[in-house]
Amino acid sequence: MNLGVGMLVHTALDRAGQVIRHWSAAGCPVVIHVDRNVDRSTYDAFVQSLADLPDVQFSKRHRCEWGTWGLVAAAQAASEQLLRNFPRVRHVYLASGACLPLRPVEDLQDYLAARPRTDFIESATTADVPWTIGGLDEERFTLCFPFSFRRQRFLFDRFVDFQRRLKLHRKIPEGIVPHMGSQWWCLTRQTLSAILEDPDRPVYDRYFRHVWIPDESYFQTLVRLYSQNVESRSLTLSKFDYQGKPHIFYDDHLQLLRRSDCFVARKIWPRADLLYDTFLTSANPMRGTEPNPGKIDRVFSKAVERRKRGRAGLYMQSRLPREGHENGFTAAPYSVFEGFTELFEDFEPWLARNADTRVHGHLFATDDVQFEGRQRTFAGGLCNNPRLRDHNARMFLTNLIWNTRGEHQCFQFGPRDSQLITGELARDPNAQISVITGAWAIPLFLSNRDFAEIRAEAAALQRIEAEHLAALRAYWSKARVRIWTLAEFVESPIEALQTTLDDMSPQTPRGVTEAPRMVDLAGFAQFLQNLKNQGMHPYMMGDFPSDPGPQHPRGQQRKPYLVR
Amino acid sequence: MLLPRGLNLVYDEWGGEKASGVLLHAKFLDVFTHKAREELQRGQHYANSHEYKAYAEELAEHPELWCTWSEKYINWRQLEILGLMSKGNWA
Repeated sequence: MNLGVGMLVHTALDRAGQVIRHWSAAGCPVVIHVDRNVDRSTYDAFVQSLADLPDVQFSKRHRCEWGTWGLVAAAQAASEQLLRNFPRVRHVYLASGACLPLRPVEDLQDYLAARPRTDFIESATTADVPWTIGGLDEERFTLCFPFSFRRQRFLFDRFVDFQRRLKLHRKIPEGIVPHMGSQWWCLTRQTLSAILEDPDRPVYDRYFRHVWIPDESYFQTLVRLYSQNVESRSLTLSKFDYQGKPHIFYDDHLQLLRRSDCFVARKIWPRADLLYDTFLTSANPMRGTEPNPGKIDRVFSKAVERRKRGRAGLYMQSRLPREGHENGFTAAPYSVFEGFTELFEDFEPWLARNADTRVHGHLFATDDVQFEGRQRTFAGGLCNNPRLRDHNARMFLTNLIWNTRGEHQCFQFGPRDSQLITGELARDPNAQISVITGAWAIPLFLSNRDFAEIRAEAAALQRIEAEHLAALRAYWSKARVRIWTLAEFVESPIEALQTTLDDMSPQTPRGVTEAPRMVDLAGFAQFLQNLKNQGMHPYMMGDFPSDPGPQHPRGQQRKPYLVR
Repeated sequence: MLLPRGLNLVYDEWGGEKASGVLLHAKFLDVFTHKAREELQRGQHYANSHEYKAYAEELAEHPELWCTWSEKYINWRQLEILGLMSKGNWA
């Protein structure tokens, strides 16, 4: 019986009793501290229920409230009694009523016997660790906390403000450096008795009585004075959630706990029957291994991550981030092509052949939602109603990208489309936007409509495109944007197409082996000149050579190709 | 008992996810076509049962809600992966 257990109990006494029997059966003396808030009759019944156990004692009771000195006083009382009455105890383990041993107690006894001089207590200076969540760190030790955080919150806060305003500081007793850590420790008799029998103890006690949450700093600080070998970790597995509250373990954590190889875990839900039945009755096969909380750490930090940052690009009933707090507006990269379908007759099928991707048409056309294959619905049950889409264009886009995670989406866009999404596209780092400016003029050129109409529409489209480009080039734009004028693009279309394909899948570069069929542009320069002559200057196309080039009869024109 | 106000704040506004679930509405069950017709006969719903009229009409033409993009239900983890619900802080 090298190991003695000090146990602080305040609720779920039946579960505590079960665990005490478990410790006791393995030969560990247990000294129990029951919170004075537990009423007399309950306490008596509890004492009675454990009366048959040898080496189980109850210590003097203190009133224990979260974050107050009472918890330290309780730990002191229990360990003093343990050291005094059980001289063969070499290590004292401080546990709570909600702690559950996960491995046979003999394992723990062997482990400690092999490390007779080691104190297992998490102990770090406040300056070095960002553990405290929404609380005070350094100020725990320099301010005074006479009011209860739970019951007298108003006074607590006012008094903290007051001390800050007057720059009041308490003097930290000579010789100690405040440390913090988990309140559940396992100390050697030598260290613990040195702390408890220190002639300066009244000084320390007086100081820590008004430190905030002293149960996380009293032993953690004083152990540094006496211990020869501090192993700064707790043998008790406990996890904290994003608010700094301890995670509670339930039945569905059974496998995780089993694989953690930790000696003791907390907090266990009192009604987790499966956990209590499993760990208190059957032997865990993992004998002699080191505690290995790595896996359980990963699972729990993932949960914290999910709660705090969430999944990028997901908008749903329990995640609706404010603008700027999305942690990623969309779920995955996607490509936007502007002006390509105007310039090439078969751009969409060509793109589908040459890249591993879904190719949509103009998703934001004013009168249509052109899903791939012009389907009426698409992934996630999105429907092709343009009014529904425009009701919330942002969410239409984010839904589409979320619903198709795992495949790359491409869609066409242009000044003829509904422009509601412009700002979002420009702001989204996932957007890869390739623009051929001025390509909107090609359908007008081919339309053979009344020239006055054409002129009016060209002016309108040019204005819309100019606004769109201004957004893409704005300082706040985060999209990956490539812009060619129509003239530039037509000069070397294959290189430009190759660049856009490379942008889409940088890992697997693919050579362009065939080019899409370009619209016959013979006479286009004259068309632009006609617009100019009418007083409407189409500048978006770049410098299109105004004199018509040599005219090839259509059909004999060979496809352009790239020599690499 | 007065419940804490925080329980009414069901979604997170700062990017995180709160725990949430999914309810299966009886209107998505295959017996609903039958039910809609029955309710039309009973005529016990508000506004002259106009909602049920719409259901019955639409379901007579398209009795199946299943489409290419529908997914077969497997388990709650699937719903979580699809983003229809979230474990939130649950580990």
